[in-house]
Amino acid sequence: LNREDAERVLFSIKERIDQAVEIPIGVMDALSMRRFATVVGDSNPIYHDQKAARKAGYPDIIAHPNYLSAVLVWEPGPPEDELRVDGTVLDETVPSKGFRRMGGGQRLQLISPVVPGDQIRMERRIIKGSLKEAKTGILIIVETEKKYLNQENQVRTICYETLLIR
Amino acid sequence: MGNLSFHNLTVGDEITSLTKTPTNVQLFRFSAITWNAHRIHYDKDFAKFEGYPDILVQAHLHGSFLSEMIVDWLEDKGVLKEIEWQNRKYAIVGETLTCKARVKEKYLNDDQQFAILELLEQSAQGNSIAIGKATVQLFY
Repeated sequence: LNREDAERVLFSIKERIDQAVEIPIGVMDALSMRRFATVVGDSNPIYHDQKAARKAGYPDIIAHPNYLSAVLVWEPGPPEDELRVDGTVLDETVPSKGFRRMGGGQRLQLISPVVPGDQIRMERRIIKGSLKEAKTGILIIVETEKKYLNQENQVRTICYETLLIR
Repeated sequence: MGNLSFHNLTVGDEITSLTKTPTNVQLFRFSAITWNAHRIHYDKDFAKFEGYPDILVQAHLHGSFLSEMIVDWLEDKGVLKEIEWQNRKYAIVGETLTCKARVKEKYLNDDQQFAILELLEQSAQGNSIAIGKATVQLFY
């Protein structure tokens, strides 16, 4: 990534700042929520057992705190021949075609727990873009926000992610 | 640490650690349930082509382990409000990872009790795999 490319990419990223994209995720089901906790290896009964969850003060089992944000693609996703060579989905929400992208960390705000029957939608937006001269060359740092809400507009989780483009 | 409460908690206290050794099956199932088709997490040949010795543990699985440790420690005496983490070094399948946390700060906000934890996930060789921070609310 040379400076000219970096400034061009950053310009198109900045043009999209605060443009919210809404993605309907759908109804949360107990089976998928339990499966996620099972795969993590987390046997805490609040994720698996309705009685235990109620005893802990929840109306039903709740989703593992990382569930909503860990799912990378909530849409069906493209057919296999439209994936990148490395298997990832070409996601141009943050325009960066042709450059290498890396995760730079995430922060989750756990506002309220997800319960079965929640009809979740995600609002995704870019909140900041900047350039950094690193030892290895120029980096573009992009910060995004994914807000997950239910059918009553209750915010369940907000995920802030940092993406590095080089 | 005795009974967990805001009063009993002291800056510098370590919480109960959590050890995990991700397997091939766990990484495959995590990729499946998170709809993550990135080949470095299940295709050893591709991971090697990318320069790694084996398939890699997913960033969100590291975060999920850290959350598990905190929620287990809190039991019914508090709730996890916020967690952040950054991966510092990759971890491969079969590596034993230990999640640890230490109380960095505690504070009151509108009469509600909070503590901030410093998080670390370490390999058996002592490498920092992930670092982070969490905020918990304590009920007692």
